[in-house]
Amino acid sequence: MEAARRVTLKIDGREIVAREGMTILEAARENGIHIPTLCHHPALSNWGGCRICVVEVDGAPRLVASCVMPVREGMDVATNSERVLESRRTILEFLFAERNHYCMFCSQSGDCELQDLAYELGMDHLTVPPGFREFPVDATSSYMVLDHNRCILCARCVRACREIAGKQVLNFQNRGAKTLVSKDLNELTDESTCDSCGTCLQLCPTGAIYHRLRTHQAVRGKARKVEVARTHCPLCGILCETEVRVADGSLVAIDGVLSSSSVHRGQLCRKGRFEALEDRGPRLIQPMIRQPDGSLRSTSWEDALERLCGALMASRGTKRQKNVLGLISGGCPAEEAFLLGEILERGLKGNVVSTDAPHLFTIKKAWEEVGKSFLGLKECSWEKLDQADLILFAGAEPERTHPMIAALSKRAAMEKGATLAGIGPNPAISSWSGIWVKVPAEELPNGVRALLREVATRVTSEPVARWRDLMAQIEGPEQEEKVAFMDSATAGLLREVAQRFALSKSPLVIVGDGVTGSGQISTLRNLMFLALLKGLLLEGALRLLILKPRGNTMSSMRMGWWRLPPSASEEPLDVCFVVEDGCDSPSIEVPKTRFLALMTSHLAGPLVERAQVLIPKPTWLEQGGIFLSMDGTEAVQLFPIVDPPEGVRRGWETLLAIGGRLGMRGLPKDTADLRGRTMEALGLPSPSRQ
Amino acid sequence: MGKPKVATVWLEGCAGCHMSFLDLDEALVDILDAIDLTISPITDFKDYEFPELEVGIVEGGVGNHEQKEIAVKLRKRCKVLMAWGDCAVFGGINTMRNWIPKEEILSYAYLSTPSSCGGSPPSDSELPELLEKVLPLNQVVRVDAYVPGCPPSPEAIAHALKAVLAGRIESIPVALLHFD
Repeated sequence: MEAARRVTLKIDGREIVAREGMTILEAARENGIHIPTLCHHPALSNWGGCRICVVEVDGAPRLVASCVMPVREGMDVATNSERVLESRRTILEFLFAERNHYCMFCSQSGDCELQDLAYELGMDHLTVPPGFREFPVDATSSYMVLDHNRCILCARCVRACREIAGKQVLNFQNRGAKTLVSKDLNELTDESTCDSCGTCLQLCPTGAIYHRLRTHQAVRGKARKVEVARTHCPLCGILCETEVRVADGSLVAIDGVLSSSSVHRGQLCRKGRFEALEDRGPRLIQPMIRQPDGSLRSTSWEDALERLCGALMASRGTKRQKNVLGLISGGCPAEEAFLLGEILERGLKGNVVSTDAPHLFTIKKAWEEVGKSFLGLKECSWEKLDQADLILFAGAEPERTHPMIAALSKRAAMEKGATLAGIGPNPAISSWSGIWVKVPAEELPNGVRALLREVATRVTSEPVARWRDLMAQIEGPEQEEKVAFMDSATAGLLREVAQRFALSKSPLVIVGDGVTGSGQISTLRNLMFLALLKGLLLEGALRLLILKPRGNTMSSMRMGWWRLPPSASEEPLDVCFVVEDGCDSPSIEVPKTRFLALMTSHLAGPLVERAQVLIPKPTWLEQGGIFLSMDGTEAVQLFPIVDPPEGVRRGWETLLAIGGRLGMRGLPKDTADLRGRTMEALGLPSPSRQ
Repeated sequence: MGKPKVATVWLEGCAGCHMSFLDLDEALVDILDAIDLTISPITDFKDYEFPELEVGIVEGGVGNHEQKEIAVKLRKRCKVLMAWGDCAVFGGINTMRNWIPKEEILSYAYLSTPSSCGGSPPSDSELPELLEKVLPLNQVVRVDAYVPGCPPSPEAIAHALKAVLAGRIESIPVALLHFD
């Protein structure tokens, strides 16, 4: 790109060199000159709506909004002349008088740009009469409240919804003083297409859109100190960068890190921003044991670990070493997955499997089948969504499982005209009318096979001949596909999807838990072949993304914990040791077992009722750890953000203590050693992001 | 010449501003030495026949006819009128009723709240009638000095009072300015 022409101008008497095309505001800020703003936000397009940033140019009678006025050679700008300040104060008073801004009962007080500005400009009263008009409040969402009484119509939320989140839910209705921010065609939040990503909330400069879950911990007053820490959200494997705000040792908010260079541009999803803050029931803060009458009582760490180790030692003497099972949740950090393996598999010759084992087993076996014919293939990154012109969801419901994937898909459809197509029992994106081939869950394998054949007949490149050979090997000679379960309309839609898929330049297949969770190995393999028909992406990546049930599921996969656990009908196990993340219940049925130990953060979930020993552990925000991305290529090392409850030890410290009690040798010596060996087990050099 | 006479009134407010004034603690001694506090909730004189005053101080919004009358009377008798607190300055929390018709408010409060039990809205002619809207003081009379805050800090009150007694009208310094 050609370098922009230099422009010389004067701001407050200072000679400034700017570049052509910059606004006065940008030039001023670049040179450390303060101009207050409200509607302006660096992550959004310029708006020029609130007029707070007015400046005087060349002494002209009319003031201009510096956030939209481009610099010009020789311009003489005054940013704080008496006329400018007077005008700003009046504009600010109008903003206060127009609607109902009462800081004393606003939960956003102390964290409000409008209030900050009133303090900055010393607004100690209003010279204009307040409007005292009533505006509606929309409190239908579980996460956010939209209070129009506190809205200044700066359009930051509207622009954020369009430009960052790409959802275009928010817009304006009415005109003049009756203007309101509205959702869709004036819907309430819970009836709108809003998916509660909260980008609007993050960018709202006032209390018009506020957080529902943490209002009692609002940042009231100037005095309260808020600490901001950077981390990543470990909940789904996308590993979005976040800014976590902590006040008085507790979590107040999780914000996205706005960036035009990241594919999601810094939006978060309802899981990462809100559900992480939800109350998940009482904490487990002390080890507990089951009493003979069935109730639980608190005990010492010493006693709890002794009981667990006693049970593990006893099973070692019985020759039935395979009767020890470790279950690790995909929400736990990789260190815990690694240590559980060291202790139970290497030390006691037992088994360790993921609580998402059925998903992992399906994925593993499908790759093995495809790997027989095509070496070195791998999944693509979620970031490829941005380049897709057709996104095919197979058995996937990303709005439920991976809201960010849903959001980015919809954005691709709205901004770039990508086709959204789905095959499965439920529509993939409820608020977007893509092409949905409705197929009952039990017929999904047949539906996918039919789709694969339909696409293959339409693609006429070299790999197809090879594919036909393969299919013949795998499934016998090709024959007229019977799709009896489909009516003609559905079959027509299937053909349309096939046609569009065949013609698309850059399709992407997204596989969900409808495929992986029900053990449809051949279906997943067929979807891999389907993706293969359109060629590979760079670096041998297939045009295919498999949604994993939990954020760190891929760590368990890499460690080898993908095998299926013994079925519930078999002989009971001696010992089962479950390490959970305290978030969800496992997606497998925990087999019958004589001694069940559970390490978790909360007294919630079905296993609490079954366990003989309960051992506390911190949440991810309290202990951090290594988390692996959804495609398994990138690991992040998260650091603790808040302190765990007193007395709760880190998960890996507890596991190391258990290994020590069992007399195991060769366990990691310290945290650094543990991290290093965990990364080695993951087959990665060192955490690539922090 | 005697000490400057000061009166304070408490209109539609919660007494929080007066409490904040009392929270000046030992600094209060100097202030009370310097002024002659006449009618005030603190002295418990409530006849509102104000003498000629240097400073009149109002806490609370103006929500009924009696309050309006007091405000007007006070304005006539004082050289400097000062508004204390968010209610007097902006209308405050009382303005939450401003978009509901007053009849509806009264019937809700006396008949329909969960704790109402067979009451009726008061109708005695002795009782002051509600205004249609609660107003900030400067929508009723001219105001010279403002001390916002809910409540204003003792320091902000002292700052404003000292300035007025020294014959100056000053804005509250930004460091002391707050609305919550």
